[in-house]
Amino acid sequence: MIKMKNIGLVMMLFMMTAFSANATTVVQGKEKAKKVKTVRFLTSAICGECKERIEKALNYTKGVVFAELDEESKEVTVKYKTKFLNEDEVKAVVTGLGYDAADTKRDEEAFNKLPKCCQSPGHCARD
Amino acid sequence: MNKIIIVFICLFSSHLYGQETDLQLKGKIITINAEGDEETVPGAKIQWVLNKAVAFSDDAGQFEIAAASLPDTLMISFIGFQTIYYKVVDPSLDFVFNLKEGKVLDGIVVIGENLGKHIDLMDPRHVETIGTDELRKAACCNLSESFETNASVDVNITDAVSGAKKIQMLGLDGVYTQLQWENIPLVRGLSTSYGLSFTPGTWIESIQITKGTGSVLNGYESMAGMINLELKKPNEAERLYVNLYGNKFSRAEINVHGAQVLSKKWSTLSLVHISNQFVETDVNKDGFRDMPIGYIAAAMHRWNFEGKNSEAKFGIKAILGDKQGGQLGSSSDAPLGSAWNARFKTQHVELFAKNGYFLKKRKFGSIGLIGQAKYHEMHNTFGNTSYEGTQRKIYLNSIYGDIIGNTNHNIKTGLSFLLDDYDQTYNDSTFLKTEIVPGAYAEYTYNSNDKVIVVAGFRADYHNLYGPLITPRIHGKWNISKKNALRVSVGRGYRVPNPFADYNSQMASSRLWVVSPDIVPEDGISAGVTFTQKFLVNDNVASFTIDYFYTHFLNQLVVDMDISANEVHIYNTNATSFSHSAQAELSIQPAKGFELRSAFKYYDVRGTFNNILTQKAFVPKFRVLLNAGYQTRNKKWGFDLTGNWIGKKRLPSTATNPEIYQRDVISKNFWMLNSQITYNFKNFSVYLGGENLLNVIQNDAIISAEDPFGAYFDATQVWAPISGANIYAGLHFSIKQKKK
Repeated sequence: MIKMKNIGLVMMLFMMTAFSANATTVVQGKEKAKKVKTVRFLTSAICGECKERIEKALNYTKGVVFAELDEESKEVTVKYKTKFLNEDEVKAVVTGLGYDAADTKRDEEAFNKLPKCCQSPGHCARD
Repeated sequence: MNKIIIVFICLFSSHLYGQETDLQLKGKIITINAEGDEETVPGAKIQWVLNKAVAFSDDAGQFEIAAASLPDTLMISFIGFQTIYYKVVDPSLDFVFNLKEGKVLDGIVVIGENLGKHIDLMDPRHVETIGTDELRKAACCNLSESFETNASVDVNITDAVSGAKKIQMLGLDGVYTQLQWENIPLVRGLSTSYGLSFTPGTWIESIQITKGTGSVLNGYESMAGMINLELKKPNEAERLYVNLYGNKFSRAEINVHGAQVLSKKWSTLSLVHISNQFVETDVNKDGFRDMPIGYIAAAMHRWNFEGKNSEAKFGIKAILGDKQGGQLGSSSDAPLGSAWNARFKTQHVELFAKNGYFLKKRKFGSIGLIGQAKYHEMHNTFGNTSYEGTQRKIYLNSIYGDIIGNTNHNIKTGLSFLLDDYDQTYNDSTFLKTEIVPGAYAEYTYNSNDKVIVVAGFRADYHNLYGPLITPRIHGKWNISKKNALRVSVGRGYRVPNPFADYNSQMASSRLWVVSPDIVPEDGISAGVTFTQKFLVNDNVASFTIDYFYTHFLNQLVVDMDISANEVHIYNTNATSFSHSAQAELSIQPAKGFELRSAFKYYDVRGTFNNILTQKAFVPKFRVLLNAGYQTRNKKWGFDLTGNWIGKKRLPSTATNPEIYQRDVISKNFWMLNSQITYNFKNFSVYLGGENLLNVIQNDAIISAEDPFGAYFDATQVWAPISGANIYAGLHFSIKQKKK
């Protein structure tokens, strides 16, 4: 009823589509190395809620290719296009949310608006 | 003696790990009471997940624990509170952990609400949890479509008319799997055949699947397995959630949820679902609608109360459905003798309540009460055959939980009561039945530092029609190392059948129903062994699980289609009937965001049909599941591809039919391929998916489709899809609750 050839074809199509979204990034990284930069810095994030807030804000900032926060080390990795923003502007997104970004201090007003669990360690329950 | 053991554990652990490092992690355990004041929590257990060292908080809620090697995760638990998991990198900070009250009633601890699929190494039973992320991988319209990426639960089409799907576990029909939501019975009694489609997929927060027998706390049913749904909770659900769905067969759905946290104690949630199939389609060109047209509307309104020493969940659920299948252009309003029509009308309303109380004088003691009152009405017609059924049900269950001496020994015990009043009419015959089943149970749990857990349960019920039902069950788990779990289970289960409702889809044929007047409960013993090993692949957790289950029926209700192609015989028998089920599953993440899962299943399900011990019809011997999921690093794109290979199945013999109405006795094997692409915008996401992408269609699925009122008409011999490839699209929009 079904030929293996068809299955292989659909699988291949899936893989191609799945990886095409990131393929652009890789090509840009190699050919236009100067136009895409990766920066890593520590934040004052505490919990999963903080991770979600920081990643979401950065990932939907124009020019950011991806942003990932390691919940264990609190370090955020941001890959961005230099055409749209620079490192300070990347950090400004984080401080604007109420978190410290390396040596750049948080926006106090934004910090006070954070949920309690994102203001002091231990108040976040993963439940 | 028990206190000495706890002190010894504390001393031993601090001695053992204290030598490796001088770092001491200090902290305090608090909780916020109903008045909003901070209270300390003495006696809470603080444990490292990796090195297993344990400490307890003192009278002032303070604790100190050696930090041997970091990073590690602290697990803070206390009975009656939700367990906190917290990763510690820097032990020099002063930690304050705020325990949230709750989980008095729930038997299962869910670790992380948004995980994909995972198997817990702690639970004494082999429980697979399907989280929201996994459910979103395939836009599941209702519960029957929520298992597409899961290997333990198989989903099959019941017939070529109703569009209904049924599940199988361990190769056994879905009737042997106990379904419940938050420990409240879900699909049971008259709703067995079509009930899965009455729970919308978006209502589900997570699904817990247990293979083999479940806890005696939930009753004597669950022979092949237990499926528990955690539905969205008023205090956690989105403030507003909207889901839209549409597919190429003109099925459209809308789901709207709204949650409100009214105060620290009270919260409420309303859920509304409407689905409609607008246009009739006939892809396989047999003159019959592939899917019935019509609607299902479901609504639920639930409340949560969380007090200092008590909590309550209660609400109301209602379902209304009216669908019509059958020949193209057919209608139930048309005069008799017109085109063949099948109509499925359902009305369902239920009230539910769960209350839990902590006992002030017993630190670890709690009492839970679960109550449900349900009314279910069905009016189904299949051509000239009609079935009407009404079920009125009252269910009560009480749970007293406490420790015996220390937390290594737990006991759960309680009383239950079940009243089922059935009123059924099949053509001109009426069947009245009232079942009254009081019961009592006790379940003892021995827990040796979470490494070895043994659960021994026993329950005794007295059925007013069938006498005593005695249910012994035992489950055991052993973590041979930190990364694996070996589990065994043996237990007995019963099920009181309702043949006309349970096998309602068999009415989609001209087969003469021959039902034994002496129906008795089905009785089976299920035993199984499961081994799970977790390991790291590129710093990502991978798991391998292998299991084997054997189910032996001491008495079974057999649906025998092998006696004659024109008849279906339904009768109890104690003739040989068993199921061997083996499954191996590997789940790995070769790269960040990329997940691969593969499972292989072997079923040997045999029963005595037409006095011959033979393979059960419609159950394949072999099945394979392959799943690949990828999410881009910015979490904007999600891709999922699932392949299900279904092996050959034995089919009932049609040799007594004229040659043109005869069919093969073995089905063909085939692949079912589903895929979905999701794009997440900041506040909403859109998805596009395809089902049965290889366009597999069972030709001639309906025997004698051109003469549906004739003697040979049969729409129940379905072993593959009948409607071909499907394309769907939709969106999710949500506004989250504000975190405090």
